[in-house]
Amino acid sequence: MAEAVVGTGAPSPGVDRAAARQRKSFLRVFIERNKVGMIGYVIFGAILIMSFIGPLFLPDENPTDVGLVYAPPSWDHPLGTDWRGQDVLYQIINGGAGLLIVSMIAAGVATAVAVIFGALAGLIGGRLDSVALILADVVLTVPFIILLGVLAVFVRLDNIFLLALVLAAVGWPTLLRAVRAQVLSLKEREYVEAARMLDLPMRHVLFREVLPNMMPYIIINFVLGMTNAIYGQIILYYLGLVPLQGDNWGLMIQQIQSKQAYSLNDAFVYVMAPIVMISLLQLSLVLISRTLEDVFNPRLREV
Amino acid sequence: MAVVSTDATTATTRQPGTVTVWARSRQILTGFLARRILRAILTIFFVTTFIFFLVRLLPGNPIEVYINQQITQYGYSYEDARAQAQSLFAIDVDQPVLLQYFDYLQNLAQGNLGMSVSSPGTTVGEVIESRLPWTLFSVGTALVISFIVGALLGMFMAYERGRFADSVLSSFASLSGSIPNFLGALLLLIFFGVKLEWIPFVDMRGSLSPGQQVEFSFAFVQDALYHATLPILVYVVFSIGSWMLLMKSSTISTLEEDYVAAGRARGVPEWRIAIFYVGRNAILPLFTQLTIAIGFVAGGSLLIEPIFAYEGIGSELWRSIQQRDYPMLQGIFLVVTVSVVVANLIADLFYSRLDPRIRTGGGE
Amino acid sequence: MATSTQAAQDREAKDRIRGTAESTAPTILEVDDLWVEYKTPAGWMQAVRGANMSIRKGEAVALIGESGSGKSTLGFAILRMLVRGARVSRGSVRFTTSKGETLDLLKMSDREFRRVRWKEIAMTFQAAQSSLNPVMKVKDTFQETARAHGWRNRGEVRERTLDLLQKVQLDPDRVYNAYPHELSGGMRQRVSIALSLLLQPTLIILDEPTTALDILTQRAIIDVVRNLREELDFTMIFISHDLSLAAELADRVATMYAGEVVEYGPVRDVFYEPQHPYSVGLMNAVPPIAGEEFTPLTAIPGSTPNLLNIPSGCPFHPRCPFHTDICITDHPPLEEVAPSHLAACHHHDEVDKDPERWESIDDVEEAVG
Repeated sequence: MAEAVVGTGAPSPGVDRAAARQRKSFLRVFIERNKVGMIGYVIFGAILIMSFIGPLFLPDENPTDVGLVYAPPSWDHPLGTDWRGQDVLYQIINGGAGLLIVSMIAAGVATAVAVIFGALAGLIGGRLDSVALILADVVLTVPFIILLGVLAVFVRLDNIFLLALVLAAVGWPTLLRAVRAQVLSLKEREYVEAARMLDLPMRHVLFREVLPNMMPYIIINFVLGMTNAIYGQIILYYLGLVPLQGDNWGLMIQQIQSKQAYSLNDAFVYVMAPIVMISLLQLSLVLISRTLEDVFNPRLREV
Repeated sequence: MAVVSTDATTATTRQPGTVTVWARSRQILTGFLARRILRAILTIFFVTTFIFFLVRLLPGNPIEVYINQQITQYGYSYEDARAQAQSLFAIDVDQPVLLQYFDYLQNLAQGNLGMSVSSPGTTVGEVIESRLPWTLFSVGTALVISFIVGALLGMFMAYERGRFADSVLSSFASLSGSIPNFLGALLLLIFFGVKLEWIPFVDMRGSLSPGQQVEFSFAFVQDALYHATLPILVYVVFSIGSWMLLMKSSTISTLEEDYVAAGRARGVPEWRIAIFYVGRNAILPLFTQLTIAIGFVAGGSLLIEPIFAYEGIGSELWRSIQQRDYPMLQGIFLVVTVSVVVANLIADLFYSRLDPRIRTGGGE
Repeated sequence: MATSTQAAQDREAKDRIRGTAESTAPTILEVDDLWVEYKTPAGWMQAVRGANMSIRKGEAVALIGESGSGKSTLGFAILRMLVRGARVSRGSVRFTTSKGETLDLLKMSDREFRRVRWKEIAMTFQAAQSSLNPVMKVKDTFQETARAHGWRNRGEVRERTLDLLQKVQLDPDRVYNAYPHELSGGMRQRVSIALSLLLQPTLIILDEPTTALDILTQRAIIDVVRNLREELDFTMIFISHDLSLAAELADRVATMYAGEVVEYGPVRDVFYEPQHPYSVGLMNAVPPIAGEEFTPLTAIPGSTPNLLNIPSGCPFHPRCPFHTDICITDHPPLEEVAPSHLAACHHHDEVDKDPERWESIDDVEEAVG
């Protein structure tokens, strides 16, 4: 009967609050507590629809028109044209899917590595734990942008899986540390203790007890992994380290920089379009991860 | 603390002054800083090894690419091209890989990083020596400013939580954290340089104005600051958000700590509570994030410097990537990593001074 | 709930307290019909509901109750350190200082209150483990506290601190220069006690001083407090959920339930002739102290009431084996049931410690629904 209330004297208002909360539906609470966060879901949803359904409605070709270079917005070209006279809106609609697919693969691989090794390191502890932690620390210390740049110079990034793998290779350590911290706290819980006492195999403890309870957290990590992968991809495009073909927001940024289009007043909308899209995408993912953290585990941010 | 004995005995058996010099130094050796120094050495070792094998063992490795280039483009004989590659990369290609590796380590220890491919006749070391100070100056200044100002703002947000100022600053912090910094640099140029023409960004290009000598004078410091303003501004604006949010959440949880309520109950003045109770404790978790931040901002220089034509290591790395100057790339990668490792050690040193639990070996 | 009639009843009860205490020393603290509320998303939650209590100089009063009974909140309200989002909605706390002034603590400005804070009323906190600033040495905490109250002679403060550390049976020189993390939980609790005595306050509030400590350390802390009281003669409020610990230290016991004082009397009377079923329940729930005959342990059925939705009539009735219809409709006043012994129970004469009566609770609860 030790008192659970530690702190400034509130006689466990949390208990009553929790009880009151349970009466409402999960979804309602979720929305109520995340009015700002909902914007993230709306933006992300809109970008997904535009990038994956939008291209179905586009004509096959985006003709170049040398007579219409850096044209300001018009009925024919709502976002103007670029340095070759190609329609910008077309490129914006067409240029998101590749970015999203690669970042999802990269985030998936990085999260999988982080979850499996992070969970094992946390559960087994000892030498495996120290090795995993040191390795993560080492990779974290190396400036990841430079690591990415150097890796990309030496490895020819001519298919999206290779691109995703390189991005995952620099993205896993942050996630691994976070997963490990989470597992360490889960490890203390009764059901994990019980499973270990019963001498159930590690496979069981990992896949039946620990991972299901980490699902929300894994999703958060996946979302954060995506923001890292998007950032990394844009950098690779920007540095000209990805073969330049097709429509891609990163490629658009690269061309704006190399053609110095940002210094032209007429090209304002063309220049802003990919910057705004990338920023919106990143912002929406950050907002989503924050709402998930708030709902699933408000205290985890400190870990 | 795992002391589970009656206190009366622990209090009397541990006499004051029994902590000998030997015990003290052992404590330090096994302590926090020792582990960090060990990690730093390990990191540098891993990175050097990694880059060596990356250059040597990958199919189509840069040395071979270079040799072939020399033969096809300039009509060198294979032997000549090979000899040239050897001096450029500071590696003896004829030896077994393991020996090459030891040679390479020995060269590194002597500061020999090889020769630049794109600017013949200059060593990688020379180039880095002339570029690194600019980057250290601008990135270092930016990091210190964004850490301190971000922590102060984060604390302010925590005290004002739920009010207007907090929501404005939180929105800014979210934006600052989600816009990639080089896009931020472009935005700065577009809005304040091109549209509004508030910033004379053509005039501010480079690291120094033409004709300005590197010397100990007020004019030099002023000019250097003038040219570093834009890179520093961009680093600060686009890295401060994460410090603000971290400090805000850390401060909010510190404000709930019992010792804060206890301090107030004892009548400790509110300004002392804010500085020595809340601020001092809330800032500690931020140091664990410095590891990532230092590398991040240092990496960011690669992307931002070329935009402002700031003649630091970032612009040089950019050039090396464009021209596939492998020895230069390798050298810059190593030097930047070592700088980040050293910067991390300095941050750890501060951290261990700030948190007595770490100083006296209470664990991380 | 007819709060106005309840308040009137409580006021009468308080008047009775005043005339019946055994001690003849002057009253120094009077809590009168105190209501404290916390703001929650579901509305204002009443944590203290018309608490009444008066304490005479030199007395040790134990405040006993489960978590959520409002005992800690009452302590915090007296020292005016309620958390953000909490407010005193009614009532007063009158306190007589060492100089003989009587002050209404809740009506003073923050500035005025500074002469009471720590100089007149000091406190040790629940979870002493975390009530010391981890980045400050013990000596700095003492020096800072003294300085905040205008005591600037560092040498003097040092002497006083070392003396106090000695009195709480710590090694003064070692502890004086230590950081909190270098001390064990029990040692930190002693430092907190010494810290509360620094400015020679009239009244000390000890909030759960033994919680989270192992049994031997608890024992040692109790001894320290008892010795200090013999030596320094201060007035003390001792907040605990453990009746047996209270019995060792207190002269009088106040049992709190759902934010009210439901029984208040001399420690022996409350122990041997409890007049409120909740006090009996608390006693049955913990092992008896030495010297008493063996009684089987029984837990109080049910859980502490939801403070957003407090039961009608007597708030304890859903958990009470003695309850009848009147308990559901009428709020029992806190009245004198024996000389200087007050209880708020319609059936106080039937209350006994027979555990069998308590075990039959399941049937009662089913009947109530």
